[in-house]
Amino acid sequence: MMKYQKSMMKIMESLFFSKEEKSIEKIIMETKSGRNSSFSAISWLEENGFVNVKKAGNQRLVSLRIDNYTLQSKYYFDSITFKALDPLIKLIIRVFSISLSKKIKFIVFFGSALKRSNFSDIDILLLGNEITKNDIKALFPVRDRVERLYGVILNIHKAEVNINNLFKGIVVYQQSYISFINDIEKQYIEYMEWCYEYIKNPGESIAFENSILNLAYCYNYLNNVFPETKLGVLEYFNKKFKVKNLDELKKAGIEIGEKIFK
Amino acid sequence: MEKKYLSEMALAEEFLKSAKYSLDFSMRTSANRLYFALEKAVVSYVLFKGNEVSKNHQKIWELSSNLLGEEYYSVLRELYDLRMQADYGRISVFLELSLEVLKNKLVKVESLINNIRLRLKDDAPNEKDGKNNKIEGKGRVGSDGK
Repeated sequence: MMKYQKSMMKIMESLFFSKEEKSIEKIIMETKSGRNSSFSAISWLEENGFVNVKKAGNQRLVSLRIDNYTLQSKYYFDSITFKALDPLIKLIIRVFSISLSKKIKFIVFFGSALKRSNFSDIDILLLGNEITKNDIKALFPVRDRVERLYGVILNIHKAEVNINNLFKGIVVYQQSYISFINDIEKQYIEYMEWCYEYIKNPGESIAFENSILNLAYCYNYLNNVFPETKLGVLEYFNKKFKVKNLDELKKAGIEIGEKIFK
Repeated sequence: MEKKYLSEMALAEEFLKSAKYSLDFSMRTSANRLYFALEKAVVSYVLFKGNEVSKNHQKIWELSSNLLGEEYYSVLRELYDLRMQADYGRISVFLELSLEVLKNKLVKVESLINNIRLRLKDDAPNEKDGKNNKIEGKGRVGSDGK
C-alpha cells in the first residue's frame, strides 16, 4: 500500500475535486503521476472499495465510491485546503464556529471567496436536518460581530445533510469537533464583545479601553509574555500597536486574530 | 462632485419609485430596488461629505453608520438580507421576505431617504463655504475612543 501512497492521494484528490467520473488517461494527465504507479494505485483503490472502475469501449472510467470511509479522505483534503486559505477567512470561520447549535452538523465553505483572494463576502452552508428558522436567527449576534469587526459580509445558507451538499465546497466544521478554546481565544472573544459594544455605542469609552486590554493580553500571551500587571500588558502591546481609534483597533484585532486562529 | 452626488440621489428616488410600483406584482423586484434605493441615497450623502465610496457593500453600511447614524446600518443590513433572498433564494433568513415586511420597509426607507435629502439641503451652504468637509460623522460620536 505504501508504495502507491503518493499517486493514490493525487488520484483521490482529483476525484474529490470534481466528483465526476474520469478516464484513467485523464486522471494521469491531471495528477501528473507515473503511468505504472497510477494503474497500480487505481487497482488498489478499486480492490479496497474507494473507487469504482468500469469499462467504456477502450477506456476505463474511474469514479468515487462514496461512503463514510471515503468521505474521511475528503475531510482530510478539505482540512488542508482550509488551512491554506486566507488568514482572515480562517479567523472568521473559526470565530463563527465557536458556539453553534448541535443541530448544525456540518459547515461547508463555498463560493467565490474559496477561489479568490480578493473577497468582500463569504458563503457558508449550514447542514442539518433539523435546523429551524430560529436556529438561524440565533446566529444573528455572531454574524453581526463578524461583519462589524472584519468588514466581510457573511451569507448564511442552510440545507439538509446529504452527499451533494457536502460536496458543494469544503467542509470546515463538523459537529463532532472537539472544542480547543484556550485562554488566548477566550481573551479574544472578550475583545470582540467589547469592540462590538464600542461600535454600537461609540460614546462608551470604557468599551474601547477594555477591548484594547483584552487584545493586549492576547498579544502578550501569543508572544509568551506574562506581565504581572495590566500596565505591563499594555506597555508591551503599545510597543507594537498604536491604537487610537476604532479603525486602528479593528486592524490590530484582525492582525492578532489571524495569528491566534491560524 | 456636485453632479455625481445629485445623480446618485436621483437614482435613489427612481429606485424607490420602482420598489413601490413593483410591490403589487413582484416582491423580488421590489426588495431588490428597495435595497439599492437606500444604498444610492447613502452613497449620495457619502459623496456629498467628500468621502470615497467603496464597492464593498459592508463598507458603505459602515460609512452610513458613521455619517448618518446606526439606524442606517441596521436598515441597510436588513434590506440586504431581503435582497439576497429575492435574488438568490432562501439565504440568510434573519428577516423573512414577505409583503408585510416589504411594506413596512418601504415606509422606513422613504423616511430615511427624506432625512438624507434634508441633510443635503441643510448642509449645502456650509459645503459651498468650504466648511464641514471633514469625514467626521454627524450621526454618532467620534470614534477616537475618548
